[in-house]
Amino acid sequence: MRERHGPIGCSDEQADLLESATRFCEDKSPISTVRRLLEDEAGYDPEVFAEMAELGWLGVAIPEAYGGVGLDLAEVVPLVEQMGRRLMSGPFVPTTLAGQLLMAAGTDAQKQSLLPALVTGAPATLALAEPEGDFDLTQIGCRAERDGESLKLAGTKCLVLDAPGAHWLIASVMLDSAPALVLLDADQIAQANPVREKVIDETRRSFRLCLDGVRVSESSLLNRASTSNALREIELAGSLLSAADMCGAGDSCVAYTVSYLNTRKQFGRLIGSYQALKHPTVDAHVRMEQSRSHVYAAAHTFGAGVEGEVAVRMAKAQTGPALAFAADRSIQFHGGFGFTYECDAQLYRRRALWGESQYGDAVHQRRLLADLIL
Amino acid sequence: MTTELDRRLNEFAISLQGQAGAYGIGSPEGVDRGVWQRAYLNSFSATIGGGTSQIQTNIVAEHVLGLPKH
Repeated sequence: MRERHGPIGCSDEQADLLESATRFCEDKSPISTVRRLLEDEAGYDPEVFAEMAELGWLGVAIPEAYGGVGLDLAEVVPLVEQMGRRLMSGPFVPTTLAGQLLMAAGTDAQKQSLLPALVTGAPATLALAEPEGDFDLTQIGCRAERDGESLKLAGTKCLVLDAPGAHWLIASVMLDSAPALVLLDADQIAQANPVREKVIDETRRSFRLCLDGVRVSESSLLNRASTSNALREIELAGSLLSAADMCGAGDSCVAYTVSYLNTRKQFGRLIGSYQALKHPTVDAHVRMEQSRSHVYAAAHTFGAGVEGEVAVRMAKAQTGPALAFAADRSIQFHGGFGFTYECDAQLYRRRALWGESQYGDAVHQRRLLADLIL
Repeated sequence: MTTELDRRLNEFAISLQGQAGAYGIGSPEGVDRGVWQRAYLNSFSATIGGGTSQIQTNIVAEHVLGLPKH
């Protein structure tokens, strides 16, 4: 368990990163680029991902011993927030989470062989979700059986982000009636035949993997004793980064709505002058501001036991519905244009639906919060 | 006003899907092949077209309840 670091607020590192990330994401992801990438098979620009690596972003929460910067996930939050603000996608978040899971449960040999390359831009991902699965990552249907020197895998994983380009991934399986984590390299990922899924957020690239018949060596197993705790930690890390992404998206969604309310005239008046539109837009703004407070509080206390978990779950429970509301109202307030594909409001609404599906929706988070604080 | 109910019902239906809410319209992996996602995103055609819900509310306020125009 980590110590809380001082009163809440931006650390110097966070402030510097925030400024750099704001400029970078604004520059690299104008809406024309977001729209172009909707049609792109990979869904992201590999050169931009390489630049993120050069800026050191992939190593922010990786210890210096493995080539990273040695900060915490708290410092990754402002980066992901800015990516969300510009509707960016791609392997940054899955690679970051794969690195965190390897940190939490990988063997020394695994960390030494994979993390330095991750920091310099080798993408990775996670295969934890399953078609019949719920949000509890320790409920696993996929299986591993010992077969001579190797492990034989079986079962289906879904919602695996950016699988075809990943150099490796970590999959959850049941082994000897307990959760286990195994590494798959690029060849083994290819054997699992990644099939692209049609998802509501068209900026995402998500794949279904069939593990039947895939064999991995015993040395690809992560530390068994750390596995259950690591799965709980990664669920919180995933929730935090998802909330950060939606927090950024919500901010630009409200700005997008406000811009229209300040230019569009109906019945001889700017439509922003009507209270029926003005007040819900204020509500959306307030809810997003509350979300940001929650997200930064969660970043600040991340890893600090129950207090940290409560903060993450509150942030995720607050932010998803807040972005959903902001985007829903944005569609409505854009009127006849709002209903079209050309209006960006739908991009935000789809992102909110995606975010709710990741690492536990608001209802799930509230259910767990009840146990933690009541 | 039924158009607003329709929008909210479809939104609620997606929220019941949990993780599967991630799937898109027509997706074989989605609940009912994403029909609820389609219905939700389509529901705005009715809450906007033919006079937005906000305009309908104004009409009820002024012509049914007799509240003053601004």
